[in-house]
Amino acid sequence: MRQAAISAIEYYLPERVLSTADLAAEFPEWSVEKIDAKTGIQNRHIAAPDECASDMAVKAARKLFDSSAHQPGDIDYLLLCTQSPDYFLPTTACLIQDRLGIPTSCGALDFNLGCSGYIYGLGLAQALISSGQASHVLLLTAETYSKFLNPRDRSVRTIFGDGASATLLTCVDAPAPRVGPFVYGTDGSGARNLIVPAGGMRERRTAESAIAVEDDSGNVRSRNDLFMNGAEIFSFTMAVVPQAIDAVLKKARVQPADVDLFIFHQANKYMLEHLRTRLKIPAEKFQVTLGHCGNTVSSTIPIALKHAALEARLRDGALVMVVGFGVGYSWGAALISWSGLPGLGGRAGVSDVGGAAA
Amino acid sequence: MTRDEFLIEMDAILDLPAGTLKGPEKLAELEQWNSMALLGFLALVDTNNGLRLSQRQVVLCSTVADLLSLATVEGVPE
Repeated sequence: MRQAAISAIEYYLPERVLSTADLAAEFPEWSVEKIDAKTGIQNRHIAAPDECASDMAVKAARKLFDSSAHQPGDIDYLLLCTQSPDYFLPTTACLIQDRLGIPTSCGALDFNLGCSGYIYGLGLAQALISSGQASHVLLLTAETYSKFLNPRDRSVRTIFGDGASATLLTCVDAPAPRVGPFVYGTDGSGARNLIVPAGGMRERRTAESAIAVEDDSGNVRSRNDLFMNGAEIFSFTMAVVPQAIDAVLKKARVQPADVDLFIFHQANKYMLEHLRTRLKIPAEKFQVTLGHCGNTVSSTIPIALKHAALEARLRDGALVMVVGFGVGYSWGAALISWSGLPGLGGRAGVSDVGGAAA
Repeated sequence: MTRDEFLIEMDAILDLPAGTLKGPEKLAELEQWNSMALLGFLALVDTNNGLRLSQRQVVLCSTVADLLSLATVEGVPE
């Protein structure tokens, strides 16, 4: 049977680094130690002023082509997950097709999701391949959230970083899915808790929307800037993640102990650790990879997957639970039957952390 | 979780020496009562009492004692 399998993952981080020390210098009331203890993030990479989602996605994709046996000419479908497209229109995936030299016979589309986006992308890729519509799907994630952040809003500047990932899913003949089953969830009543209020069609940018206001916590933002209600996001996460995991396990008819590695959306270390202890997941089965890049939205899971492979935490045949959750509210969970990344084998140690070079 | 245990946990969340908080302290006058401390409180209540609280409930609290009351009485049960 036609099934999708992950055959390559690469990622790209912008060159400029915003360290926790840099932030502590800007916000003296928060020490480096305090920020690090709560977020687990030492560095965030920030896109250059003229660096957009397509630029980062192209660099991630070129890294993938350079490191794998596949070339742009193999791709017959391109998916881009982004909430910071280059333009309202045209579709940013179309621009990427052209820049990468992918055949014009391919399909290409953007989809607008954040922290759950990689899960949805995997689901779309699996469906495209199993239905015979595609055989080589290039799934890209790319965000420049930094361009939405007010410089004086420490609540979000400590957490978010820019970055992009590229995942190649190829068609294999296998009796069972390598990616799946999937569980999805949506609750739009939480939309206001992670939002850029102005700039879309609902509320255009005006002089009034640009007026910055200080909130009760001393954070400053305008309606043109990202607002995140951390407490509500935390409560939402605690409610949906355990249920999503239970649902996927039930669908797959496996037990929690059968899962070899859990990879959640890397929101921040505090939330991850709380989830881990609440779900009673042993530390050795829980991937945490955000210290060097922060919360890169839809790229956190592929980055963490890549590092899990580099760290030799994934043997051939390992069962991986991936869970994305956040803006929307939107969430998704899936199981991946790991079949290895060609060229990595089982070597230990991190030899490629993505870096800034394309 | 006893009242004293809760207060000691809140001391840690607010980076205060153990035994500092007694209950009547006004949250608005505690410099360390910020968004990170709020998350710490939510996590504390979720872990120890299995209660899911919303920010809407927490903002109605004026004192540390109000937080304790919320944590033990009015949370959303699992």
